[in-house]
Amino acid sequence: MSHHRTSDLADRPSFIGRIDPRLRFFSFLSALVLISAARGRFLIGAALSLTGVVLFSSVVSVRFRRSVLRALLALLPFGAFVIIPMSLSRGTGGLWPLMRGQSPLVLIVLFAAIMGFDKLRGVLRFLRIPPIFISLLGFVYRYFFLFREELEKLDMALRNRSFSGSRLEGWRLRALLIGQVLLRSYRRSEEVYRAMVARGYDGKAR
Amino acid sequence: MSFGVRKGEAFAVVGPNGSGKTTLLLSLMGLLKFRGEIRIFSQQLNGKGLRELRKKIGFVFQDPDTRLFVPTVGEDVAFGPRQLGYSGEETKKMVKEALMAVGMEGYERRFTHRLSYRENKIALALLLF
Repeated sequence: MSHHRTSDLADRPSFIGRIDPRLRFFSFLSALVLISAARGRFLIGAALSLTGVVLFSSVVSVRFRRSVLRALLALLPFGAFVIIPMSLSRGTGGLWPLMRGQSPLVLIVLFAAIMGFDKLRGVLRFLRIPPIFISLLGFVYRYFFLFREELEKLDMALRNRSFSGSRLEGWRLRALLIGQVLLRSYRRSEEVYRAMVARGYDGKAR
Repeated sequence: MSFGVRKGEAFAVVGPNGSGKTTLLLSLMGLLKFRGEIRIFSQQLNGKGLRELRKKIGFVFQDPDTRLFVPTVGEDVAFGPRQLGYSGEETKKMVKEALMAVGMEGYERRFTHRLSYRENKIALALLLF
């Protein structure tokens, strides 16, 4: 999901957007705890559906909704990878364990989509979360998009040089590409650390 | 290498790639170990007093993605003053003044990743306090 959309559209007026961010956060957290602790499929299903509808209806732009849906669909295989073996080993079959396990993750993605990164960090500061965690979150956000851009640029460079080898060779080169990005990221992290120290950073997040 | 720079002097270090320009500057900031003696504002650079030194010297890194490492512009400009112990109110005031000085007032909440090349002049705002 492009950070352009999350930063611009999360602040647009909507039913949930008008609620104080702290109240939003606590309400969402309470809903998540209640849903996770509840028994009874009907009750859980109803609660999840209601929460999902309320959250999703706050995502005002159709384009943004599509981005959120794509993010949710991308999340499913990872959840399934963890949950399916667990449910099989316990002997509980069907989709219910998968749904129950995935639903909180889906709700978290929706919540993050409508909250806006800035407001989310404001709430974390209000909760007196240690500054180091909030700083780390900031770095992750700042450099996630850069990491993605670097991958895209390298991929474009690869295609630009008209690579047309076998599929196996293609995978090998892409693996090398990812290795390149990791090496560059490591180097950049050292440079960023120097930039921080040059501006007075002494190991304590403030 | 041996040189001195007087107050009010504009001093340029030029040289081909790999000649040690960046290494020299990083050493002057106390970011790299070096052999020999460096004196800045008449004080020997020896690991002590670096915090005070960094209040007086600004260093602009070449790569914008290195020099702007915090999500928003306001926070990035505030990073230095916060680390150097200025209070919240003082920091806010400094950020406002620094952004005004580079003609970028109102940019506090802009994401650093979305800045154009021209807007990267906030690098100067990072040093103006």
